[in-house]
Formats: sequence, structure tokens, C-alpha cells
Amino acid sequence: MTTLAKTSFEDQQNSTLTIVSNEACFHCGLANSSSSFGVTWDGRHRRMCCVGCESVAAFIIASGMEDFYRHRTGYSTRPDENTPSVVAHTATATPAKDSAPGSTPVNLYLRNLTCAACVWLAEKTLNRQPGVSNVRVNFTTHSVNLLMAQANTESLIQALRKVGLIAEKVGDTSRAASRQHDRRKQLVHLGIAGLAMMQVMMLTVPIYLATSDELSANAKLLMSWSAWLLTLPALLISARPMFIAAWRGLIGGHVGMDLPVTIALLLTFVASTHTLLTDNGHLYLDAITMFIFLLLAARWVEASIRDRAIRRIERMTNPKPVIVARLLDYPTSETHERVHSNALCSDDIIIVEQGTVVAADGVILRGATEIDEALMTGESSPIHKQAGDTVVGGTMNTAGSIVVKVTAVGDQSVLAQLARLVDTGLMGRPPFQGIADVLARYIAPVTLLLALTAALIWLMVDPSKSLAVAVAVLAVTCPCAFALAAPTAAAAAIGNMVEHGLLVVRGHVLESLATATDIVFDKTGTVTTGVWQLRSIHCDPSARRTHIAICDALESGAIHPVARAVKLANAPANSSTRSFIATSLTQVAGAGVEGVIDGQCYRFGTAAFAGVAADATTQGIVDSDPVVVLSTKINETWRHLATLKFTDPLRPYAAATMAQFIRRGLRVHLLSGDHPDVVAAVARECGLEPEYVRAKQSAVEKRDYIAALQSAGRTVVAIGDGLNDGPMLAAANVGIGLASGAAMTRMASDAVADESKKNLFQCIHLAFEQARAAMTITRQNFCWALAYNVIALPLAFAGLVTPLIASLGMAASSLVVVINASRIWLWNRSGS
Amino acid sequence: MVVESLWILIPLSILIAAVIGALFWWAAADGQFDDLDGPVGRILIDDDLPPGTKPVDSKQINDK
Repeated sequence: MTTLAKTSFEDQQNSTLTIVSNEACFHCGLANSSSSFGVTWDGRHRRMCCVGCESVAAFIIASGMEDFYRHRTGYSTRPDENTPSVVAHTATATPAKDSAPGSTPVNLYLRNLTCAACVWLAEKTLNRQPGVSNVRVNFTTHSVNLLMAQANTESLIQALRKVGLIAEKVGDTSRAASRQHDRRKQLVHLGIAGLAMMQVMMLTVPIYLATSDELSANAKLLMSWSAWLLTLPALLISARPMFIAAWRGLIGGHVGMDLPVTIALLLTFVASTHTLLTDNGHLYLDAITMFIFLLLAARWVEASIRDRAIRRIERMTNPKPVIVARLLDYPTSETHERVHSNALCSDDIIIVEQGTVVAADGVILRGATEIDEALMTGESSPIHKQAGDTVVGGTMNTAGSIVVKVTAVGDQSVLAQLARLVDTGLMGRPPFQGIADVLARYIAPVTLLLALTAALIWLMVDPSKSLAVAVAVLAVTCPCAFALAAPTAAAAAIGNMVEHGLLVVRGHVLESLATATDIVFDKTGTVTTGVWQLRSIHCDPSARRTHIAICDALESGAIHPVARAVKLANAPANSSTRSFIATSLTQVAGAGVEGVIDGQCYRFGTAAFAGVAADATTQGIVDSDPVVVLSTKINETWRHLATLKFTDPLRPYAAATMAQFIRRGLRVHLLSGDHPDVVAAVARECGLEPEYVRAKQSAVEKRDYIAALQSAGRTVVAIGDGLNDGPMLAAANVGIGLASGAAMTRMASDAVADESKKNLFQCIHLAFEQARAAMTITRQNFCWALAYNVIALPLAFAGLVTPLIASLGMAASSLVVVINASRIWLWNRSGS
Repeated sequence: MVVESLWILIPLSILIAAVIGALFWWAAADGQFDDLDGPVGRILIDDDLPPGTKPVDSKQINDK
């Protein structure tokens, strides 16, 4: 619903109240000038675009939930008429375990919540279900939590479907729950730090400003101790995670920014306490609380942005359950039961229908088909398979129905092996060292050394002031600006990336992208679209459109790449040319299709199948793109009508973006599981050097290629979509997956490109730009922090820094850092 | 005078701050800040049925 500007919706809403609008569907907002569907509500006829919207709206109104339409602020999504109703009699419908009535927790995910009124609709609907209580719908995370007497999720999903809401079962909720727990804890810490900061300031500012006759010594002591008391929660609760992280880093030998922060906080606090007890020196309690709050706030913003990205990715990765038909008594009878693919065992016999996903690894017993293995191997053309051939779970059956004997399930399957490769790849990554981590190693010792030097110098000049000066040095060099330098820039840059569809999951992406030396692309589905297009048709020019329409008729109902490409090519002409209807269609797997149109017999397929000599059709065609021939039978001989060439086209901007990378001195590689000819053609089109192009690569080979680059000291960014790219992405310094790609590969990625707003290559280009900008800003921030310290240190050494100056200095330097980081935000707004 | 009132007001303010902090902690841990958009609609929509419509019980809905 984001595409719909709110104002235009409200205009629309107002106009429906005054005049009956014929423009848009009342429920989903789709243009529907010619439809006859509609309901009468609130005294007026409301037009609907389809029977789906009509039935949903009628149901909502009939069940007294029409308030939904009064309060909504956006249109609903159109209920999909083709969505198959969920099969309830599957193995998944396990009976609820023994538990008290109304106490089984159920989690659902709502796919199409568009406005707050949908939340109300969902809650209302669920509350009416028998045995349901404690319904809570979260608009931000799109999740539903409720308690139910008997965990019958299917009935809830059905009930929500009736009001047009698409719900899904959530597989594993533990990760989301632990993330939510962390977020709540972070919020508590931030809130307490903020509260403490404000209270402490309120108490310390009068001490700074008041003269001795305005504020008695006793009152000053009271206020100081009160401020000290209020600092405690900030230090003990809010800053505790930092202390723990610093301690862990110290033990593990991995020093981060947390260590200098911890040292600065603890030493300043101890010195301030000492001041209070001896009444000699300065108090830096306001600086301590402010420091904690600023740091937590910066980290909170960064975490919030990443959290949003993770949520969007998790929304994509709800794998749908695969229901398969298991033959009970093959080959004697064809009786089958429908089971969940998880319930399959080795040696089970299953039917894999045309257009469905192969549920498990196995061997074909009967039938022949073409299997689309693009996601699994990167091969762009479907592969002809017949009895005796092996099929891999997760691939797509595009041509005919086959009977498969399952050979491997669960841990033994090819998919599970790839998942293991992903896991080992992620674990074996070199530990990431950012600029901040490197710098942090020097900050703590240098600060301590400076404070010690100051104390020693003053010991010789004026011993009574020695401690006060040392603490002032500590307070001034407090690494606040240093600690904020990286997270603020990262938050702004990652925020921009998420907004434009590159969902960054792991924080190190920015620095790794900025220092990358090599980019490795997968071909099928990444550099190319993975969707075939009709590139050329060789035939009598006047009959062009007719021939395409004939091909479309022959391929109607088929789902393999050629059929889709023909349908696409035929679509724009639908209105002007006559459409054909083919009868007695026979599919010959691996060859083509035969059918009768207007009494004339046609064949559409390979040259051999179409009965035409190969040289006659392929003359002048030298490259590797697939060729399909249309022929017709005249006087018992097949006559050539047309030769169609298909291609898997490059994504928009692919060649231009790669050329830009090469100009910048990056090495661009292309790894593919496809045939060498196809890969070479794509590499040529993108202007890549043959040295960096590899064809026929398996998942392991791809991973090893990356590992070889890394061991040569290069920083590698890998981009891919298929299952076979998962291990490669996991091994690379930065792995970028695609929202449209395989779920497992997305999980292995550091960032996921969601192409709803920007094209993949625009996303990648933007990512590199943003990473560069973020690194520039981070460096500037560090320079500024350093400059501030260089100016403030001599003052502190001279004993001229009061707590007021220290606090103001810290606040000002932090503000400069934050403002500088916000330039990234503005830089993007200006459209560059 | 000013000083004397401070001896009451400052401890009181600390107490209030502590209460606010505790309340905030409870609210955040309870998940009150998890969803800042959804309750907007929930509170505005009147759950009472508008006049002229027949209340429908859950059984009828399920049978439909």
C-alpha cells in the first residue's frame, strides 16, 4: 500500500462519500470501470473489481465489522482468486498436546496488513473464533500472537482469509522472540540513561551557575550526592552491556571501542566519587550520564534500522509447506495420500505434477519431463529427464507429471548438504576488524598515558591539584566523539540502503564494501533476469504476429521458460491479432509440443522434432541461445514456418554498472553453473575479461574460487540468488542475496536486495556509493574527534578545564559528529 | 528558605524519577513499545455495532 499516496487515498475516500466513484474498486482500489461486481453499503452501491473483493467486502459487512471501511487509511490488497485453499487434511495438522484449555500459544504471520484498521479487523475476526483468547496483532512486525484451546491454526487462517487477510504459520519464532527481547532490553537501557542524564543535569547545572552566596555548601553537597545517586542506575544498568563487552574483548584479545569507553566511564566515576568524599576537585557526573545516553542512542538508531531490514527479510523467508502426493501401492494402484514433504521417507514413491517443486531428491520411475534447475545449478535451460534419471529436491518440474522414488531426505539431501556448506562458510569467515576497532586499541593506552603524565607534571608543580587535572584530562579525552563516529555514519548510510531496497543485516557490510577489491557475480538470475525473452523470429515478416500467436496457443498451459517468453511476446498484440485455440495438444518432453489449430497440425520444438533440417533453421545463428522451430504439416511433410530465438537477457544497468566497477579498478568476476558458451556470451556482453569468468561451476567450486581470492589477500563481494550460490555468499567478505532468490541463500547473505524500489544493479551501485560516503564521513568524524582532543588537551593539562567546559566540549563535539553523519542522509535526498 | 525547601524537593524528585524509571522499565519489558502504529487504529474504532446492523454471533460466521 506504500505505492498509494495517503492524500490521494483520502481524496478517493471522500469522493466515495459524495459521488459514487466508478474508478476504483471499493475494497482494493484497483481500477474497475467495467466490472459488474459490488456490494451495497452505507446506502450506496460500491463497485468491486472482482468476485474476490466482493465476497470479502460482503463478509466483512455481514459480520458487523464494516467499521473497518470507516477507519481504514489505505486500500486492502486484492484477494487472490487463484490462491489454493489450504489443505487441512495433511500431516501438519497434528493434534494439540496435552495442555490446559485456551493455553496453547499460536503464532501467525499476516502478509497483507495495510493500515491500522486491518489490525482491528484481524483482532476482531480472531476473537470471534471459538476458544481463542489474548489476541495481539503487532502492526510493526505483522505478527499475531494468541492463545487457543486447541491449536488449530488452519481454521484461523481460513477465518482470516474470509476477511481478505492472508495469514501464514510461522516456522521458527525463537529467533524473532530473542530479537524482540533484546530490543526491549536496549530500550530499557536507553530510557534509564536518558532519565538519569536529564536529572543529573538538572542538579549539576545550578552548581555550575550559582555563586557561593546563592547556594550554601550544604545544599551543594546535597545536590552533588543526589546527582551521584542518579548516575548509579545509568552506570550499573544502562552501561553494563558495554562493560561486559569490554571485559569479554579483553579476555578474548579482541579490543573494541567498548574498552576505552569503559575505562573512561569507570575512572571518571571513581574520581568524581573521590571528589565528593574529599570535597576536593571536580564532579563529572553529567558528562558520564550524557556520554552513556549519546552512545546508547546512536547504537539504538543503528540497531533499529538493521532490525527493520531483518524483519523485511524474514517476511520473505517463510517457506511455504510443500504438499506432495505419495503413492501408497505403486505400481499396482494409483491411490495416493497428500502429505507434507517433511513427512517423506526414503523409498517413498511420489507424484510430481507439472509446475510444482520436486519435493525430495529421487530417481524418476515413470514419465519424462523437463526440470528447471536454475536455482540449484545455475543452468538456464530446463534439462530433459526421463525414467532412470535423478532429480534434486527444490528444483522445478516444468513439463510433465513424473513418478519419483525418493532416495534421500533430511540431512542426506542435496539441499541439506548445501545448507551445511553455508554454515561452515559463515563460521570460517575471517574476523572483521573495522576502523573503530583498530583505533580503539590506541585510544585507551594513550588516554591513560596522558592522564598519568599530567598527574606527574602537576605533582611537581602543585600536588594538591594533581588528581583534579588528571581527571580533567580523562574527561576531556573521553572517547565520546570517537565512539559515535562510526555508528552514526553507519546508521545514516544503512538507513539509506534499506530505504532503497538493500536490506543490510550485518553491520560490517559498509566497511567491507568500501574496501572491496573483487566482485563476484552469479550469472543465471543475477546478472541475467532468469526469465527468457523472445529475441528474434526468423520467418515471413508479414506472418510474424500470427506465428507468435500460434506458438502461444500451442504453449498455452505450459510453464517452462519458452512458453512464458512466447506468452510475453504475444501479450501486447492480444487485442489486434486474432487469438487461436489449439486442440489435441501433446507434450513431448525434451522435444516440444504438437497441436491442432483450425484443422491444421503444428509442431513447436527442437528442429528434429519439428521435422525440419537443422541447417535450414539455424543458418546465420552461431551463438548459444536456445532455438525453437515452428512447423506445420502439409501433405504429410513438415514445413518450416518460423525459427524463434530466445535469450536470458541481462538485467537493466548490468553492463553499465560492471563497466563502472572495472573503471574504478575493481575486478569483476562471473561464476556460473551454466554452459561455457552461454557464460562466455554474457561475459562478452558485460565486457568482462575471460580470465575472471568460469562456467560449469558447482557450489563447492564457487566457494573455493572465493576462498582462493581471499587467501591472495583480496576482499571479495559476492552476489547471487541460487541455492548453489549460498556457500559462495557465506564465504565471501560480503554476500549479497536477492529477495527473489532461494530462501537459504538469503539467510547466508549479509545484505539482501529487494527489487521492489530499485533494480538490482542500481541497488548494488547505491550500496557501493553509500559505503564510500559512510567511510568518508567516518574518517572525517575521527579527524574531528582528534582535532577536538588536540585543542582541549593543552587546556586540561594547564588545569583550565572545569566540568562545565568538559561537558559542553563533549556535547559540542558529539553534535558535530552527528550532524556530519546526517550529511549522508541529505546527500541522498538531493538525488545524487 | 530556599535551602530548606531543597531538602524536601530534591529527595522527592529523585523518588519521582525512580518511580518513572520503574514504570518505564515495566512498560518496555511488557512490550508496550513494540508496536507504535497498531494501537492508533485500535483505540479509535468503536467496538459497538452501529445502529441498524444485526449482531452476528461467532457460530454464524463460522458456518458461512
